[in-house]
Amino acid sequence: MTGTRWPDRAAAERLLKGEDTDTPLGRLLAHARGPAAPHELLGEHEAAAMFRAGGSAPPPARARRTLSRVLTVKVAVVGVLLTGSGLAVASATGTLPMPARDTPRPAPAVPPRPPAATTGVRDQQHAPAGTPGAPATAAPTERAKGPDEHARSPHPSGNTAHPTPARKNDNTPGPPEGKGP
Amino acid sequence: MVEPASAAGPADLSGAVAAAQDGDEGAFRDLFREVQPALLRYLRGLIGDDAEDVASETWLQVCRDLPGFSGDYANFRAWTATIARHRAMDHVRRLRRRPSVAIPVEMLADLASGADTESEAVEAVATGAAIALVASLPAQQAEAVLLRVVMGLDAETVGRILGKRPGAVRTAAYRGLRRLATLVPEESP
Repeated sequence: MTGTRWPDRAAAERLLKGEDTDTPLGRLLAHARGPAAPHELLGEHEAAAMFRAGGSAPPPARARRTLSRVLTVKVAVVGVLLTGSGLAVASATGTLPMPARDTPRPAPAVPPRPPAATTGVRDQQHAPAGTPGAPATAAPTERAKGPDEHARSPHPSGNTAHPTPARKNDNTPGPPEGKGP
Repeated sequence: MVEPASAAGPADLSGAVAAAQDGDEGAFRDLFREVQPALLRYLRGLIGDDAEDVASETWLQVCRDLPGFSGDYANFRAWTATIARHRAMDHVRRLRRRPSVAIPVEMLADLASGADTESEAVEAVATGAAIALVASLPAQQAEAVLLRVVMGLDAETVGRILGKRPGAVRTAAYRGLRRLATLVPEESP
């Protein structure tokens, strides 16, 4: 059946028995049956322990599987770290574009705006849905974002650096404005 | 074909089999060192990355059933291959799939050249790549080639392990070789 096609039976048997190492395929098969690599013998102590226990020693087997599981977990953790570290580093260095970092600071600068009629109109255009009313209400809503986002910031230092003034300004936006003008 | 029952490789450890059955741990370690690499490669071709776990289960059963075993070293190799196969089938059943083995394509040219595998590490990588390539064959061809080439068993023994006629094993192995030859690059010079 295979007599007419390559490899014929004799050639095939020579390949399968490792007697042909002169052809590319013969060399490939020689690699497949190549010498034992150190990592292939790592289980010897475990197997010897099984042997001493007469084949009734799951503890070493469990230890082995635990080891491989630990390795798997390690790989998974490394993966998480690789994807997570970018965030961690970015936020630690402040390069993460957290809106909270920027909005609370400009927030104190907003109060001057409401008095001007033009800015009020602009605010209305920016947030027509939330602030259908007067331009005066537009400014507080804008500033109201400040404390929420600020609280979400993962940086304790960022929160404590200027927290009190920012919150005071934000929590009591109405009165100063009302009194100011 | 004129060879004895099984072409099991250079060493005949039939004495070690008998000694291990008498409780000689050193003899058992000799057997392990000779058989485990082949067993691991066979299992890697069958089930990929979980080969080590299944090999471990295989040795546990070998240790348990060794007192009842009877035969020489060639029989011992066939016996361990049979146990490994059953454990691998259990494993695949648990997984409900045939795991895939990734072939490092960039290794193919080096595999065929046979030139630069002097270091242990390079040889280990070449071996792994060769096994991965064999594992890429259709399942029956892959297993026939693995058992014959890696475990060093003859067609009759492989037939007993697989529950097939030796002729069917030969056909599967030859087809596997033919397919492998198309995957291995010809010599460039």
